Amino acid sequence: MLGKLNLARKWRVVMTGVCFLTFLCGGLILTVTALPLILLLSATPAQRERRTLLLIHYAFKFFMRYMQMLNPISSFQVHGLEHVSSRKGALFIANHPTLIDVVAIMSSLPNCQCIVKKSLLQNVYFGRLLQAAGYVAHDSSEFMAECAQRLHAGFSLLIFPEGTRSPLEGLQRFSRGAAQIALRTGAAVVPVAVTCEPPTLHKGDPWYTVPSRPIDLTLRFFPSLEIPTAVTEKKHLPLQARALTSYWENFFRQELHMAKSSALDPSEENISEAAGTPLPIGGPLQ
Amino acid sequence: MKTKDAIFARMREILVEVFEVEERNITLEAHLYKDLDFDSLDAVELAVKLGVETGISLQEEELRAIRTIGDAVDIVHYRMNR
Repeated sequence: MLGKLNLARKWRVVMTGVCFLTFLCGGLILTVTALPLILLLSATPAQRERRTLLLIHYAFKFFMRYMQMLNPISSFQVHGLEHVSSRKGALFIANHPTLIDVVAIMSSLPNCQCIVKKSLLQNVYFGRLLQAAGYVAHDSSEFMAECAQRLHAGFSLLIFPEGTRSPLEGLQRFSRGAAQIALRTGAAVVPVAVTCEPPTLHKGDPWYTVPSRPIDLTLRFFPSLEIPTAVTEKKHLPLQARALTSYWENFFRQELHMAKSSALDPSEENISEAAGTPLPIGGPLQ
Repeated sequence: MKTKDAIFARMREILVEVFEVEERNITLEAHLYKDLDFDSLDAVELAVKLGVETGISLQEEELRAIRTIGDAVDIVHYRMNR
């Protein structure tokens, strides 16, 4: 039994490696095939960005299926997408438990740019794609102006206010950039709570440390959050940003805590959800 | 507002009012990012507020070089008396 489990896990290490390779090769292939076409055929930067975003969106949709097929992911569920389907120029804020969540979120949003580190835009495998898609570097001096311009043009933005991946338990402290964007632009703020069970691909985790079983990844989109009057009545922007940030942090702590306790104590809702989940498509051992 | 003392006094007022920093934490050695929980956008805000009153506008590199309150006082003092 144990030996079998070990073998299954080894197989998942291999499959996880295959997924990583596919991701990188996929990035390169799209960069030299689809991207030049988009650059050639797009008349305006906005058009180029929209098309590249769509390309990324469908590539990630495919990749999510692919990861389910190869079994690093057992189930992938998205709740509350109805809150976002017609939205333009929204600011999505998400927790960041795993490397995969950004792929999962982008596979759900066709018209959304992501706020990333500058170094990611220079990545050999997919940096050019992200640049063409109009991703914004948070460490650029024009950061705030660029965010405002994107939102104004009708693109949505995804930001991870933790700035890096979440710790094993709970959240990193939120940085205040996201709140500054919301306060300065008035964009609708849509929280996305990500849960990943068992936890995997944390900051610093090498790719081959696969979890004990294939992961269940869940995205929960919420209705947009109003900015509380306790925040708006503060006189100065830095104070508003502080208050709004801690309001959001509390919101996420609460929601993630609730998600965790309902997972430990399966209610009717959870059981029916689990029943609706297709069985994982098996590795070679099933 | 040409002396360092005057600049520091005004900066203290701004830090208390705009950032709700506690007075006892405001020293020349206090590190904006480590001790006063600043981020880069706060630093810009502080520079703008100081700029409105002193008529100087700090360059991005100058802003980035500022670590402590003392650094900020020095650079504003230098620019005003140049």
